[in-house]
Amino acid sequence: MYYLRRIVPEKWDNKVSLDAVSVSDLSTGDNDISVWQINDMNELEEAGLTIAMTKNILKDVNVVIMEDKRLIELGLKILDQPGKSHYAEKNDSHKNISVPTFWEIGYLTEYIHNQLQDEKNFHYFAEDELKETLYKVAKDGSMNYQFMADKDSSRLRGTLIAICCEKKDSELRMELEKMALKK
Amino acid sequence: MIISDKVAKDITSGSDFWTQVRELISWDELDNQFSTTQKKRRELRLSGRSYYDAYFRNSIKLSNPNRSGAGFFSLITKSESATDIPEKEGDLERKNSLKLTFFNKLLAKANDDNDEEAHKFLENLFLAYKKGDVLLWVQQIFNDNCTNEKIIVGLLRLFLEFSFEEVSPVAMTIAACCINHKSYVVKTATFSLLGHWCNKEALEIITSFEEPREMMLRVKYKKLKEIISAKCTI
Repeated sequence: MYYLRRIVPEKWDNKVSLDAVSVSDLSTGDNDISVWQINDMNELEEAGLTIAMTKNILKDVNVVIMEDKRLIELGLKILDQPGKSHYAEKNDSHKNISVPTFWEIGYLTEYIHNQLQDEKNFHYFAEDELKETLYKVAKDGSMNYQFMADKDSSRLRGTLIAICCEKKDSELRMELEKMALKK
Repeated sequence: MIISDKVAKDITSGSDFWTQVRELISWDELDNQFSTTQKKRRELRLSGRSYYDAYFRNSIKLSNPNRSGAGFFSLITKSESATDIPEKEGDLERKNSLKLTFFNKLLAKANDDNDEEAHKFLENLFLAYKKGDVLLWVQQIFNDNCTNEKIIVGLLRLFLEFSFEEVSPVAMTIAACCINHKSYVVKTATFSLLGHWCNKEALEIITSFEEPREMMLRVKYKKLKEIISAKCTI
C-alpha cells in the first residue's frame, strides 16, 4: 500500500535533510498531515485526479510516494478521515498521518526527503494528463459528476465541458450542461 | 428587476448602449440584474471559455471590441507613455490605483495559488478595455518588475487560469523570458504554464530550454516535453 502527498517542489528540490523550508511544506493546523491512499500503482492516475480535484481548478500536481510499511516503522499513526475532493467517489481513500509533536513531523520530513532522493518516488501529473483522466472517468461512469451542480466548482465544470467540446462528445456535454443548470 | 435574455446577451456581448451603461453602474449592481439562469449560463461560459467560446461563436467575448476611448493610454500614466496626450483631472490617481490594486492581487496570487481575486480583476479589465490594451499594460508591468520574483510568479499563475488565446502573445513573450530565470519558483511556474497551453508555441519554448539539473524540474520538463510533442504531432 502507498500514500501520496501533494508537495511544493521548490520546498524539497536541492534541499538538505530536515531543511526548515521543507518542514514548512508540511504545515498543519490540527496535528494531522493529509495523504491519499492507493493499493497499487495502477491507481496512481485516478489518485492524481482526486488530489487535483480538491481545488476548483484543474492544475498540475506534484506528489511524493510513501510506503505504508516505512511509515509504520517510523511509529506514525494513520487515521481514517474522508477527503474533500470533487471526485467524491474517492474521498474514502483520504487518510491523515497523525503528527502530535515536532518529533513526528521531523521523522516524516526526513522520510519524505529521503524518498525524494530517488526519482521514482516523485510523480508529476501534467494538466493534460489530468484532463484525459477526468474525461475517462466521466465517460466510463466511475465518476458520478455530482460536482457539476456545486456552487464552488464552477471552473472544474467549465473544464470538463471544455474537454467534451474538444473531444466533440456532445452527448456527455449536454448531460453535464443539464446537470449544471439544474441547481 | 429581472432583465430579458435579449438584454442580458447585449450586456455580455458589449453593445454600444450597454457599454455606456456599464460605465455608470458598478459590476455588482449589474450582476444583480441577471436572473439566476442567466447568471448560470454566463458563469458556465466564463468558466469554460477556451473551448466553449470556440463552440459558441456568438457567445460572450472576453475582449470587448466595441470599447472606444483612448485605448492603451487610458491605462498607463502620461509619464510612462512619454506622449503628449493630456491627462484628465483624477486620471493619474485612477491609473495608479488600478496598478496598485493589480500589484496587490498579484502578490496575493504568488503567496496563495488558490486566490481568485487576480483572475476576477483581469477578467473585468478584459471586459472593460480592449484585450490588446490590457495585455500591453500587463507587459509593461512585467517589464518594470522583471526582478521582482513575487510579481512574476503571480503573473504566471494568473495566466495559468486563462486560455492561450486570451493572453497571447504577451504571455508567450513573458514565458519565453521566464524559462531562463534564475529563480526555481519562476521556472516551475513557467513549466506549468507551458503544460497548460500544451501547443506548438509551448513546445518551441520548452525545446529551446536545456534539461534542468534539479530532479523535480527535470522530471517535469521531460514529462511536459513528451506530452506536448505527442499532442503537437497528432
